[in-house]
Amino acid sequence: MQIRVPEDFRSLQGSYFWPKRNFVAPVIHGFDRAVDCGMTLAIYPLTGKCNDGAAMMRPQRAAPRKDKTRQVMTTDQNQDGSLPNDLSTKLVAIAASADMVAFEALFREFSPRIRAYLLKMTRDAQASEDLMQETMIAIWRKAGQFDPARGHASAWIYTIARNIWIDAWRRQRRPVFDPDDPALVADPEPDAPKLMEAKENSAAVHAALKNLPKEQVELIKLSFFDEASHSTIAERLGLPIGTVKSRIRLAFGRLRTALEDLK
Amino acid sequence: MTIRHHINDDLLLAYASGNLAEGWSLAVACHLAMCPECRRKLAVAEATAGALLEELPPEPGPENSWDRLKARLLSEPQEAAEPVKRPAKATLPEPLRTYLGGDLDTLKWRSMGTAKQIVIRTNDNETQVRLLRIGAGTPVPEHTHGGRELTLVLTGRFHDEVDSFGPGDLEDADGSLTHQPVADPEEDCICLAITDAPLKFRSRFMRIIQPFLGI
Ligand SMILES: [Zn+2]
Repeated sequence: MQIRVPEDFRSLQGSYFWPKRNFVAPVIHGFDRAVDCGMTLAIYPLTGKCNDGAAMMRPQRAAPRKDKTRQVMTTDQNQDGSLPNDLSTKLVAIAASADMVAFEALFREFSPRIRAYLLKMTRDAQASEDLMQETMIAIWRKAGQFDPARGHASAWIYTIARNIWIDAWRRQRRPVFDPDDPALVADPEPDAPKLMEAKENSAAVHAALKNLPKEQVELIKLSFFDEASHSTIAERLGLPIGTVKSRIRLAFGRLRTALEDLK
Repeated sequence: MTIRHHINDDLLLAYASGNLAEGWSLAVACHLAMCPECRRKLAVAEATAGALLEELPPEPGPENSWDRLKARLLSEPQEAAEPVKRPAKATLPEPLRTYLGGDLDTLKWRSMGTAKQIVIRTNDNETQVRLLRIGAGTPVPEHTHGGRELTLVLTGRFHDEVDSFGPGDLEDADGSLTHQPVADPEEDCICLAITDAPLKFRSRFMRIIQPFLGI
């Protein structure tokens, strides 16, 4: 693997996008020695699972059509914005048997959204493609660590993409607790509502988001999908920081209530 | 352990979105290790992010994106993940032990008045991270300096005129607060203190007089 700084990123440094950067943020390019993959399926050790049929030949997904409303829906989405296929099932299959068919299906379905997220965070098409690929590799390798009882699949995928972005783009470590740490204070209520355990809980998140006031959802979207602090967001929206904080508090209060009601 | 001072929602959201610098994130992660309630809040935040990710309009990429990925899966060796070694018992939570290179009993403290400290290095340049050991009954050093300050109590307690902070409590002070917290008399108080990074001056002269100017 080689690390290089894309030309276009160098020109960004010190510009208005990155006024505070004084370091070089390299983007990982893992494909400098990509092989011709025309024959790869023939030599893949798990060919039993591999099927180079219709799935491979499927054309690229059509460009999203734009609705007049703020919601841009694609044909593969449910009414509530969720994706119809069960991501958890695919991840479990990938972990259990290195299921390349399931992985390709996951890639076709989800990678354009991971790319969209990373494009928002980096504003760099090449970086978003490269970091998306890193994310998919990590999903393939870590699928065994995904525990459907601990959270929903799209949340797990989000955290992987986010961590790769922090690592490669911000050049910082991400401090995390270790769930198996002997010093961890265990949950006194092991039977407390296990959030997002069931598939319907994912629908509950979408439903709860739908019921939030628009300005609260926008704020949460900005927080998750933009590289900006809350004070920067407040400045951009022309709001006092206190208003931004109280909207966040209100929104999360309602989301928590909606999810805990599922008990 | 009864925690009364938790991670507020905007700090938790900044952590969940990856927009919080490493130093502040360390205090948040250690509080999460000590607080099941905030871990549940984090799960809600990440579930929300996942749902929003599902709702994002897909961004089409290069034609050969999948082929490149598959080629890589086939050509790169799959390194087996190293099993994580964990002690049977620990006092300080992860990720703090990793940052310090050991648990409480292995630390080399540096004296500063009635308190002792260890400076913890991070890759961000906006915070200063220190582990403080405040002598029983003595004041918390340099507590009111104008910037933001996150203080996570790990062992012992400290109190000020209005409130008291025990193990797991996270104090989020924004600089408008002027108070003088003091460690409780029963035992030393060990806490993780994150502050805005001090101003760095190029000139040696300014660096020398900086402590006297109080900046
Ligand atoms: Zn808490």
